[in-house]
Amino acid sequence: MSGTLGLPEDAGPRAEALARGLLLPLVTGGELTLERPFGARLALALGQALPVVDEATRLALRTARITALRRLAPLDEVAEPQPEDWALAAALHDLLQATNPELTSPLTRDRPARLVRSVVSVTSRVPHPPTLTVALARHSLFAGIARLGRIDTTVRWWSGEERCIGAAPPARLLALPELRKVRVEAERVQVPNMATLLPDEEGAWTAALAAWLTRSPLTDVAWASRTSPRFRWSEASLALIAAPLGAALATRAVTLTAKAGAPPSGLAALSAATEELSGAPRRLAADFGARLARAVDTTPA
Amino acid sequence: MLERVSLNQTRLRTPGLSLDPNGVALGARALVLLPTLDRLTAFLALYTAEGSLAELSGLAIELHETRLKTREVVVGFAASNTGCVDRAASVARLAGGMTFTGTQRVFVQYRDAASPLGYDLGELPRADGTLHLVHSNFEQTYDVVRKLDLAGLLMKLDLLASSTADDGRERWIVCEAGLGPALIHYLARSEVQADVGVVEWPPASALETQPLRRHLFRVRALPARMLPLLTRTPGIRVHALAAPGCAVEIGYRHPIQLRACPVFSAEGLVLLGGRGAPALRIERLPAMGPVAAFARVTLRDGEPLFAARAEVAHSLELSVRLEPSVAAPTRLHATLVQDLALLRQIAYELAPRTLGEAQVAFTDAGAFVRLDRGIESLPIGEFFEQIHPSLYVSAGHALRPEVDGARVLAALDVGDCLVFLHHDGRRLAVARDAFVPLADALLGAQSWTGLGSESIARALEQPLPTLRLDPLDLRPMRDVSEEPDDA
Repeated sequence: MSGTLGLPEDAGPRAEALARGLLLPLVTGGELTLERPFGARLALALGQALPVVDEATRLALRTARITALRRLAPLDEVAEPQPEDWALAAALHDLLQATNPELTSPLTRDRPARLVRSVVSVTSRVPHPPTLTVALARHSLFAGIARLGRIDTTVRWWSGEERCIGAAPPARLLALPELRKVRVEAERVQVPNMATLLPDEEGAWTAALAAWLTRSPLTDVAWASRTSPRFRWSEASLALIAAPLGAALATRAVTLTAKAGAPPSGLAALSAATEELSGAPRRLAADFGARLARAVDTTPA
Repeated sequence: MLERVSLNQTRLRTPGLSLDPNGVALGARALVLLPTLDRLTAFLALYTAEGSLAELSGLAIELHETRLKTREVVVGFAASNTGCVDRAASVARLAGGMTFTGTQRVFVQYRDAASPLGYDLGELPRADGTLHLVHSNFEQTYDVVRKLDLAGLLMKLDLLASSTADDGRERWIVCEAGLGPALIHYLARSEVQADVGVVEWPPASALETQPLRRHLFRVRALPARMLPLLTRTPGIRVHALAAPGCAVEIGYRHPIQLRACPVFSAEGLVLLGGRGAPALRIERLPAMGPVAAFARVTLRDGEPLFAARAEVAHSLELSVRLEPSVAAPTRLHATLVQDLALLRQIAYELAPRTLGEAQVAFTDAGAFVRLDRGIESLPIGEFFEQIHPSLYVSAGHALRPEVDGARVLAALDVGDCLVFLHHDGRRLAVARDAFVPLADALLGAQSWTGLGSESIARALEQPLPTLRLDPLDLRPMRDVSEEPDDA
């Protein structure tokens, strides 16, 4: 069943669901719910199909993005998500869905790997932000990835245990708690550690996430403190800090993240990544590091 | 002619002139001689600018004539002390007049810088007029022509155009008899608090038999939006109370401070009109009653139903509604601006006072701008009327039932917030400390941040985004292709 643009007929509702289930909670906070994986073809076509998100979601998303952006710059307007943004959102969706244990079965163990390859394919086709405005708009959509987490719950009883990934434990596991000596432990797993349950694909998954992050360089720099994938200077992030205004925005984004309670390792990660460079890019990154160090020193606790 | 009074002098030749405790020659009265009526007006305007004519006890204004038939104005008052006369003499010098002191007929020049203790006659003059003035430059005899009535003089003076802003003074509206009923219903329909009465004057000529009737309205708070209609309609004149018993037409001011002239009776009313219109004098205010008494009423059919006994306690809870109202809004103190770009453009045109006094809070619903002296100077957005220091309702709407704003706030229990009740049903609570001066908000980008709006159920903090993984359907990978079609 295909629509007029060669897309599945449910492309519109799926785009709506992507906005409601992933983009909006990523910006405003709350629970992210995932749908069926999109795949590369649909991800790249979502924006071309001009998905019309319903008015309430569109307005809520716009307001939340402007609110977040105003912490960085005095803006009153933000562009609607562009086709590239929809593609990146679908790619992030598939990347997160790849960590879903429900996706695999003894006969379908290759599904996460296929999904990760699809994400890499999509990401490679999305260009770097051509302007600071686009970089800012993209950051307003995806900055929440630094705070995104998943609640993994481990239920232990006298004869065994079971781990529920990103889902509430079923009632049967919690029945007769006294008799079965049931213990429940919930753990918040951040994005860098979400793929640890996929030992075969963890490296590929992390590389796909790193590639995805290079498409939103402001998010990449602001979240430099992450443990995995380790921050590396990319062509896009160097282009960002090469512009004086871009460097100011990146400085503000990093200091804001630090003030929000992130470990102060962002500066160290940026410095370590600078050591890997040489020549003019290294001088550029070093200047930015020095500027950032001054800003961190002068940022009130 | 005149001799300077010297220090330690004990005797004076001028009849009725004596030395006060400071050694200054002072009679029982003082006179200010002014050459024309224009100078008299100037003298009164200058004197009343900083003082009251009540300080001049026994004030009398007379027109005098010399032997050469020239007429001059003489303002006489009791010389109770040198301070009072000194001030009058200072103002008289500015107005082109001269000051004298004496008791009955012979008056000598009052003291000046050349003779700080005053002047005395060298020899007594042969005076046969009612008034003999002796100055160092001249000596003149006068006869009284007539007394001038100060109240009549004030009523004859032309009013000056004025652009003074509305200051909330009591308004008196006088209108021709034919317009009275329409104006009564207009005010009653707009729920303006006003009293009305009918004033009668004698017929203008002996050929007329009917008295001249006009309606007189007293309005304590006239909505500004009504002024253009009332001031431009022929037959209606709006006056603002300028002094007890005296009102001046809107858009004009009297050249003399009327508050400083205690000549009008508080029991009556004098209405002074601009454009050369004659003053209307009402000796005694007529019986007046509220215009609401003229509101249209209807009688219901059927007998009233009385509850026999209140034995069972019934709950009377109901929803408070915001309903359209025709009442004139009088306290438009806030506006909700959605278009921030327009607010920025308007900001360039705002007066410094408005920029300094306006407060703004940026919320999800838009920017709330408050200005306690009226938001009309910021003509954008949706206006809100303040019905309580912390409660605003959409302009043109009113709470039904008309419960007190404080009770509504207590029921909402929102703490230290300003509550805005929007006509579309939204209830918005904005923390009081979220408001910052508009001038600061316009200049500092950082101060625009961190001012979140909160609904009545206040969210204490933003939740963290959390991923939930659900079971998938039977063919979850049916859309997944690793390469797009065009690859």
